[in-house]
Formats: sequence, structure tokens, C-alpha cells
Amino acid sequence: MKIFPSAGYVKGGTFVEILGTWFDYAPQYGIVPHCKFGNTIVRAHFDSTVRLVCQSPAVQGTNAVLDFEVSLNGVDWTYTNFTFAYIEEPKMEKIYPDMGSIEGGERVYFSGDGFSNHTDPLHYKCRFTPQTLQLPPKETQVAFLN
Amino acid sequence: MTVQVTQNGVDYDNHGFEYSYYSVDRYFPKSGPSDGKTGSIVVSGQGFKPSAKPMCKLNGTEHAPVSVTHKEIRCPVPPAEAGKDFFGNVDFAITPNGAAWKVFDGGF
Repeated sequence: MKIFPSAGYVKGGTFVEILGTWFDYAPQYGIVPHCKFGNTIVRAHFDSTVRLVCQSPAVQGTNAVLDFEVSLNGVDWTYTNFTFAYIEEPKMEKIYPDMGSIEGGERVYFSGDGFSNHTDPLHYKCRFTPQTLQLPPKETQVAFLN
Repeated sequence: MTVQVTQNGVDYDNHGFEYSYYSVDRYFPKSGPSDGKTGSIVVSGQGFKPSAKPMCKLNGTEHAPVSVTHKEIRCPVPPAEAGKDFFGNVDFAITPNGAAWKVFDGGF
């Protein structure tokens, strides 16, 4: 089993995907999947026998790393050692520079406050979305500076 | 173009930062008298904007452009630092975004 993402904002609302096998939904038999973020239990959306989706609840405080478990009946829980990290939503103030060469490859800096290094660096990304052209967005990797 | 950041691979910020692109095509003239009476070097391209604080650099000295339009950056040509009898090439570069320098082969 694996989950993605393994971090979200303290305000909650992050959709967490759980990939595994033998998931089920049969309320007539009491089989209703749930997720547990720390001590908070939320209903899971049963997408298929290999995919559940849970929405992270809001928490108080920041930088809390909570145990994350899954249950098919809300009573019996997995013991996966998965965790879900809560991070503060950053206050982003400035982008520099705000233009670059069409050849690409230039660095773009974001300044602000509350950037977290408690998430998987591979999931720290920029997304460039054209406003006028019907082209798909492009994602690039982000480096956390300080 | 809108640019957003995610820290977890899923939730992107909604600050609405905008990012644009420029291209640098050519510059003219590529030579002039050492007394600086060429006037200015016109760099042609697209996507330039004054708010990005473009700069010119001639022989290692930075100069603010004379003017900036969407398709042109006009760089001043001061008298040659080596004197009015100087004859030869000096480096010429511009930064349309105040960050990345485009160095022109051959200089000025």
C-alpha cells in the first residue's frame, strides 16, 4: 500500500490517494473504508478495489507529523507506519524574475514566509500554465533554499 | 502564463503570479565610432518590458537602456573607455529580465 501525498496544509482539504489491493465497499456488511490522521477519523471515498481517496482534516498547529492508517470498517486499522505531515500554507510575496527566455533553463525565485522543508523534495514543484494557448501545463522541480 | 508552487505535489498556491517569456533575435549596429556618436544599439526581439528592469552591458559596464518597447531595447553607446583612438571589439550583453545576461557573439 502507498499513499500520496504524504503532506498537506493545516487548513485541511488535501485529497490523499491510497493505492493498495483488496479495498472494498459493502455498507450492508459494515465495510466502509476510513482513514485516520493521528486520532481523527474520516470517511474514505471508495474509488476502486485498488484506490481510496481521503480528504485531510484541519488541525491546530503546524509541522505536526501524524500517523496515517486505513481501515475498511472504521474499527480495525492497518499498522503501516505511514505518516502525514501538516505544513503551514506559505505566504508568497514575490516572484523574481517574472520573465525568462523562451529557451528556458533560467531560475525563478519565490520569496515569502512559511515555506516548509518537511515535505518530500520530489513533490516540491512549479507549474507553468499558459493563459492564452490551449497547451497543457508544464511542471518543473523546485529547490528549497531556506 | 500563470506560475504556481506546490509543496506536496497536489495543492498549488493561488497567488496568481504571472510569468512571461522573451526572445532576443539580433542587434544593430555592431560597430560605431569610439567617440560614442553611434547613438544607440537596437536589440530586437519580443516580449521586452520596462518593468522587468532590463539592462545593457558594454565593455563590462552596465547602462540603463535608453528605451524599452515590446520589440526593442535601445542601449546607449558611451565613448570608448580606452579613449577616442580605440579600435577593436568590446563585449556587449543585455539582460531583458534583470537577471540572466545574453552575451552577443562578436560584441560591439
